[in-house]
Amino acid sequence: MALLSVRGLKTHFSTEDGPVRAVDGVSFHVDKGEVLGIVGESGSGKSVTSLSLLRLIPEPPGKIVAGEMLFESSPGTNEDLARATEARMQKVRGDRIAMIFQDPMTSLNPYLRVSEQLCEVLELHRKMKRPEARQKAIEMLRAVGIPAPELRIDDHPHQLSGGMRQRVMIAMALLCEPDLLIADEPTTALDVTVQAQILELIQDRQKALGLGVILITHDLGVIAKMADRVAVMYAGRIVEEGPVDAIFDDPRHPYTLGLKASIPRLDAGRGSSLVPIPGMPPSLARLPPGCPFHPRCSFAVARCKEVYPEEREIAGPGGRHLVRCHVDVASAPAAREAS
Amino acid sequence: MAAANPAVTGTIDTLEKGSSLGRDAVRRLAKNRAAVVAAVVLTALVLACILVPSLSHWRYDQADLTTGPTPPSWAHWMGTDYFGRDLMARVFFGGRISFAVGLFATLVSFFIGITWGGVAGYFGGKIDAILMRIVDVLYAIPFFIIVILLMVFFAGQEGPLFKAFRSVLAVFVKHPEDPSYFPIFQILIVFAALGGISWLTMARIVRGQVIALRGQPFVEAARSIGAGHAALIFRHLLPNALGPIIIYTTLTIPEVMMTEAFLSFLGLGTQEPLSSWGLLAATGADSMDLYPWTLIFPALMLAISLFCFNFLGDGLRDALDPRIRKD
Amino acid sequence: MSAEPLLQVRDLEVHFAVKRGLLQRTVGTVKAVDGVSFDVAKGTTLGLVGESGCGKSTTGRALLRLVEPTRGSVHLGGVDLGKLGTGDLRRARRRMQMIFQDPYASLNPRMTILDTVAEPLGIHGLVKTPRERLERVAHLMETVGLEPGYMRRYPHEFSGGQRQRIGIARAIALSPELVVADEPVSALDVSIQAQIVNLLAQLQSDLGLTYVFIAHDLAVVRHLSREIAVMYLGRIVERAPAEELFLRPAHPYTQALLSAIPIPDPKIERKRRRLVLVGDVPSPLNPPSGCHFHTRCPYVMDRCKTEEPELLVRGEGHMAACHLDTLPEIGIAG
Repeated sequence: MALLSVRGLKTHFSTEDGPVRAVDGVSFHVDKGEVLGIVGESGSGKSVTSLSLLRLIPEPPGKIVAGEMLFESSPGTNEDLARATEARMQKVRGDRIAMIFQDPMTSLNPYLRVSEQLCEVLELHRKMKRPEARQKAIEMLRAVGIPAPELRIDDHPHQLSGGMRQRVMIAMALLCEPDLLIADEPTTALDVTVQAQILELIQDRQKALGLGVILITHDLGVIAKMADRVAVMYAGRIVEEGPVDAIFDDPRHPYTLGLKASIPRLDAGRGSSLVPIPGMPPSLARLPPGCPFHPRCSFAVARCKEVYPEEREIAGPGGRHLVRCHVDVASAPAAREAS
Repeated sequence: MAAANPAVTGTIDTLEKGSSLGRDAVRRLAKNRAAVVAAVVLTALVLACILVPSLSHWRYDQADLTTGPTPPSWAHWMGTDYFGRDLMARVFFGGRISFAVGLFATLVSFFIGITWGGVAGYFGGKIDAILMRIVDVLYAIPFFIIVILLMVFFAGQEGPLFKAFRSVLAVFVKHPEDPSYFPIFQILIVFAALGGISWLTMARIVRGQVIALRGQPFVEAARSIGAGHAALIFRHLLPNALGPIIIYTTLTIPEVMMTEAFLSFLGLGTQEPLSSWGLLAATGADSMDLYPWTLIFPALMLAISLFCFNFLGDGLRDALDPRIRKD
Repeated sequence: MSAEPLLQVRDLEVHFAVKRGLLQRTVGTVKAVDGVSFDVAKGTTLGLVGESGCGKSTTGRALLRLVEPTRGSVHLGGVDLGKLGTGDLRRARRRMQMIFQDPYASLNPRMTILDTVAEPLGIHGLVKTPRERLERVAHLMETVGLEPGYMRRYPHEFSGGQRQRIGIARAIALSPELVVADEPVSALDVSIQAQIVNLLAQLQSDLGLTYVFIAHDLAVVRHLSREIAVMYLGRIVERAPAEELFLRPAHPYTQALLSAIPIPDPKIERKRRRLVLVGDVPSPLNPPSGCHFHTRCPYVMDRCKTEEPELLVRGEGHMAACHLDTLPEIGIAG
């Protein structure tokens, strides 16, 4: 049984411009010990998905309008997080499912010392007393690679560098040994050498604790490094999903193809060209009919403007590889070259 | 540059206008019911103040000692005051004075504040430090005391300021010694004094805005294309600082009107015959157990105006909120 | 390359005084740029890379005198920019322009696109009639791939990628020779970045522009640059032709940067050998002694703590500042 199984999740927002279908029918699962990478750009719905999992969507204007999120909170029992009460969610957050965010400066309380923020988690979920909690927190800081943790623990967030703050966030997330870690763009705001350190840390802790991880990012390189399976999101839906090797070796959705062709690669030879995806991501308040990618798609046919594509399975080694597209890009001629 | 492309030239003949931030703000303001009602009421009040005293067949200074003070009746909708003068005409005339004080004193504070704060914020460094330390010191001074001292010792009919005023007046009129010029002088003093108090906060606000904007990339971009000080200040900084400035100005007007009313209670505001609402209310308060309407009507008008300005100011603050920055 | 380089920078320094207290006493100095020298040949691109605090953005601004250099010189086409008075500097700005990082904040929200793109033309008296103004702006908009019919719209009505195109239109309006691009694609979505990078390449070849391309992403820089300079804490630690830098990096920091950037190919990622640095980027307020990089360098020797290494030649057009003569090789792709 999967650690987390999401089916048909829909999260909509009511805005001045009308309803925004930020997440519009998303299904995926994460197993214990595996890393699921969710890749997408701004407006794809990836962040809203992760916030929905922990029911952190602000109730007006947002709302989970459909779907179930089955989480194995204890061996053998599933609960639907979409229907859980707020009281139950508060027990789950930080304890069974933990989340780390992009900007550690704003996700750590600037007025509280590190010790207070870490101990709070343990006092809340494990009913620990302060001295015991403090010891555990120091050990965790050491485990995430912070030098002299018994001194650093009394610092305020602004006294630490970006990389250190992110480590503190990871420490905070792992204190209660959760089953699932959701990492929403954890390294986007960091320098690239620090990013490498943090990604190594997440990989290391994940293997050590057997965590399930949902890693959300826009960076295909990070996905290639970290993920076991990948879900590609566009305009609120998952357009392609599969094992990481399949996604990179045999991408079947025009958007995935377009992304691969357009990102500069460190190992690309001189004179290789970037083939951009023409046009812009659609506004979620005014989605085009049919497949939302069709205005930018070089493989689009008439059907794409009318009907939203169903899921189709692609044969291949490794796990299930699914794609939502009317066209079989492996055999179809493209209107334009895409490598 | 290449020769004109006819397809392009065709397009530029029929350009569609975009929706400016100003227009978006007005649209948002229009959706705010309280602000719209406030604006309508204020407009009605201002119109009444302009029209009623001219159109009414009772003059605001027309005394009738035989009638004396009478409660509201068909002849006098708001009744009459101690000297038999029609209260409604007096109240709406007083409105002219109160609004004038509010407007002009705010204008004084607006101009001084923008210049002071703008210069401090734009040039920074020592200039900023000196200008703002002066503001800090002035802030600490209890202004009412200064105004009171000013009015009592320097703004009297024998005082030096009035003498100076008369010499300036002599350039324009034939009989500067005419005592009826004194109330005009008085009211100018009130404008200046009240404006002189409220510019301090305006200066701080403008300075804060200018400093925040100065670091913005679009200002740097303007410098990089060669824009000089004037272009930077008038095309880039001030238009973008306007939001909070407008809000604060709208909220300064009622503050000033209230201060003037307070001064009137002390007898230091405007004087007869240019009696503001504050003065009318003060006079009415003296006899409020006998002739309550002489207090109620002017006080009511003042209260309604203050309410409306504050609702409008709040509405403006919401409408001008820069959450439109990122899509 | 016998022709004079268009841009010549020598020993450029930008130091900021840190002031504290009521009397604003100077308590420290941030050496944001600490002795930077390079040349850029006409029509080519120099990529300037480094992480936060390395001084690349400040260098870019100092080139245009948007920030005043404390020492050193910048020569554009033989003219010493540092010696120009206000009027001459304004005229000189016609030859050098900047593209900014943040597409949301680099356009005045209260000005229409027409006004924004036409502003440089107006300041330098390049358009005489309103009609001419409209035509020039329409042409510029077309050049950068924007619909000219939108010129009376306001920035907030456009997407990030479109706003960046507007910024580019403004930058080329004066037909400059040099364009400093400060992280022009970092704030854009991945699928849009390629559009803008391609646009910049196109403009370079069509208009003969010379670029200083500032970025933290080496992969992006590779596409446009002939030469790349790597900065760390205010100094250039390595400078080489682009391909040479990727194949034979001669400085441990460059190696670490190359090693840290993930490659979108899981098979390669699994095989790669890592050079993961220890510790964080030091603060520019308090840089380490000797070689600034020694606190994080995997090959650190005693000499590195006290002696600042010179930029020495390592190959054709290839300079590096390191006490080690040759580095152990770790290929980019394992």
